[in-house]
Amino acid sequence: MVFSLLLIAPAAAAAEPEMDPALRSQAQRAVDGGLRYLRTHQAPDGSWSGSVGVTAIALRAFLESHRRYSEADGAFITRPVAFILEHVNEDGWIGEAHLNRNYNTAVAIVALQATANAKYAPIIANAQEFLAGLQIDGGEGYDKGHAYYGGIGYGGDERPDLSNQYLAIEALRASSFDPQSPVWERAKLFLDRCQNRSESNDQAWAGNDGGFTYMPGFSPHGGTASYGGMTHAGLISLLFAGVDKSDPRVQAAYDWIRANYTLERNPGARDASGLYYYYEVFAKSMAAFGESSVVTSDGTTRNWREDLTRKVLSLQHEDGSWVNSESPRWWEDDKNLITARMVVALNLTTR
Amino acid sequence: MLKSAVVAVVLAQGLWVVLGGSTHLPREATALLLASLVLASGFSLHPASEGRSGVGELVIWCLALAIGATALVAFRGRENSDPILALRVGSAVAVLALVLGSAHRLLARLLGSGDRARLALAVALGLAGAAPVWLGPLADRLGSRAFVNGVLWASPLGYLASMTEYDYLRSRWFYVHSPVGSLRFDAPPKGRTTAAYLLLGSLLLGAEHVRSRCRR
Repeated sequence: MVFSLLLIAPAAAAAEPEMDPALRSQAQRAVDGGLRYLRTHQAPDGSWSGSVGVTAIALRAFLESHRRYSEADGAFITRPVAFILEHVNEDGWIGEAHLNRNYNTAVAIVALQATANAKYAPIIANAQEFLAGLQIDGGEGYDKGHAYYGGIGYGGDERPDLSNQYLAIEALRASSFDPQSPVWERAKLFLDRCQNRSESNDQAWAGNDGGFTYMPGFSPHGGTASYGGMTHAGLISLLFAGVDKSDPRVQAAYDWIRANYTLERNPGARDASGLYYYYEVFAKSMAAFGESSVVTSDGTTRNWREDLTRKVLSLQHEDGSWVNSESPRWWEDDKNLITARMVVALNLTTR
Repeated sequence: MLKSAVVAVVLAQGLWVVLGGSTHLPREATALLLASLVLASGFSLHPASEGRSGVGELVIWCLALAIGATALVAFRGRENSDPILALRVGSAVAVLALVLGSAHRLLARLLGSGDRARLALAVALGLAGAAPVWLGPLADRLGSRAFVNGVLWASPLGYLASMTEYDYLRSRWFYVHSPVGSLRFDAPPKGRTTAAYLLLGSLLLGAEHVRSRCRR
């Protein structure tokens, strides 16, 4: 319970979200369907897809669900925990290979934190230090004026990006990383340089629509275009890094979301790649922002929880799974991963 | 000698651009760059590459390149030198030098010219190294992990990157120019890939030996 509050703390003062009870029940049945799919596709060692990252997200899906699973419920929970713990490395990172070290460590932190088991605290603490160590700063020879400063990347190269940044920030926030650490201020500098807002972004390419792009000067959807997945990632990163909801940067991002509100596609993207990433981060950022309704630019009031829930339910397959059948990018052709992500999203909409 | 120097400089410049165009190269990226430079320079410098020397000289050449690469990586690190990284780079360079040297000897016999063989090999290496770029759209469409792994594991650049533990596909240049960095793939397993390249080098040497005996 404490863990969940940490990830939506900025919204603490908001009104209780409204959701049609019938829709909520449907959503919870969909969650159960997704979790059943995951259980039937869990490997004997407790993992999913042979990946620490996928296992961690799936574990989180179980732990945060309305069923309130815990380690006391059996091997389907304890084995994935053990799988994650078996992949804790000397430097604190968690993963099966040197690839994706930030991603895997970050989602593993969130999953271990969600167990609410104090014996994992030292592992989480070491993992936090590893993530903080990945951040580009003077230690790597970069000064504050460099576009990479304050950023965190995959962990196998120094090149940072907003997606890895948001995951690291989410993990540090979920595990109560020192709020006084300079990591947060440095992170904000990098966030500024990913936002299309020339007042706060000192890069020459910066536009002014308030949205976010993947990394300074590049969007996988063309040029430096803002798009939904990264704008929501940017929004949640600002909030978790301690930027106030009334801050112009936060408001600019929210205004972009209001102006581009849709769940039919990832707004600003040129194809369906990263669509389910968008749905998941949409749920996370809207929950963190704390408003139950979004008033779009044309004046329409949208209940984001109901909108996202209906959309996600419409995409669920009969076997309880979800998958992106149009694009394999960012592993969205992995049924275990996308099912876990959609369960995480529904857990947030039905909370 | 001049030609070799030009090759080395052009390769260095190209790799520097690809690896970020920045002076802030991470240790692992620097190791990859140095290993590639040593191999490229050695390939064009040593008489073994003319296909006229014995196997013993080839082996000495491979060891010399390996020692040179190990020393460069170890010294370049200075404050944060990693001897294990340096040794991995050295062993990778030795193995790839064996493959390059053996392939060149065999091709030189088949084509009747050491220079033509060297050019053919350079083109092949360039294509293999750049495979994540020109095969990227196909890999994106297929969405096959096995296909992407095949592309990476068959590439000497992919092998070198795995030995340095540098995620080159997520470096800025590759990430911008190839979709492969956003697909699922596995780094070439160090032990198995090393064994495979050793086997390849041995087979090429054997084929060249058989060819030379048939010609007598």
